[in-house]
Amino acid sequence: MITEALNPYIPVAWQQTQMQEKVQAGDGDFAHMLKDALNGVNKLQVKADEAALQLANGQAEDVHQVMIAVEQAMLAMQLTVQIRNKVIEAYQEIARMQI
Amino acid sequence: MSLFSSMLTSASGLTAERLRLDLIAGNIANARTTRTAEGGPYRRKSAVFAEVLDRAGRAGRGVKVAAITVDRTEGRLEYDPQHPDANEDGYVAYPNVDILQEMVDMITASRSYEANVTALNAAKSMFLKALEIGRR
Repeated sequence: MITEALNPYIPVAWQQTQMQEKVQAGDGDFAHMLKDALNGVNKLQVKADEAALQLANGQAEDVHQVMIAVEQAMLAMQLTVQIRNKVIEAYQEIARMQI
Repeated sequence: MSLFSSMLTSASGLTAERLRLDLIAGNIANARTTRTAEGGPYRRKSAVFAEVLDRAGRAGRGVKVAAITVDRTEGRLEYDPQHPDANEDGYVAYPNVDILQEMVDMITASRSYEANVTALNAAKSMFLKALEIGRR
């Protein structure tokens, strides 16, 4: 049972997402959600590009910030590709259905 | 994005250790500096770290540098009457920087940096492993 107070046996970040979902539920359909997610991934890519450019210009203060931005963009991209694979798989499953 | 919160926590640790290493490098570089803007010999600087909490005040969001403190203890005096900054008795006040202590601090700073990188890589490999769920 999850109460409003934090449950020590469930990770805090997960519980917070649960709380956020409660607020966000109801607005937007699947397409809207997908668009938002893709925008988020695109933002990370742009951020990584900017960080790499700053490093090349010699404006970057920390090398690790650049590396982390690039890694985040890469991970978000891989997550997107995996989601896409799942969606395509589901579509093909339905397309193969016998009528 | 809570997706990368552990990576951002490690990033704050990396930034903090970088700053600590900057201060140690400054201490070593100024180990024999007798003139400063505020007058007198250079004084050893060190960073004070503080925990960062999320908005709810529960989970840690990393570390931040709360302050850069100046060590006010007296440095050593060396007898050198020819030195332009010698006092009327011929003694020169040198900074309170102990090179041995700075070297030890440098080792802990660089090892802490490595530990943060290891934690970041662990978070990354956990993320990549999660992507393998359901793969055929």
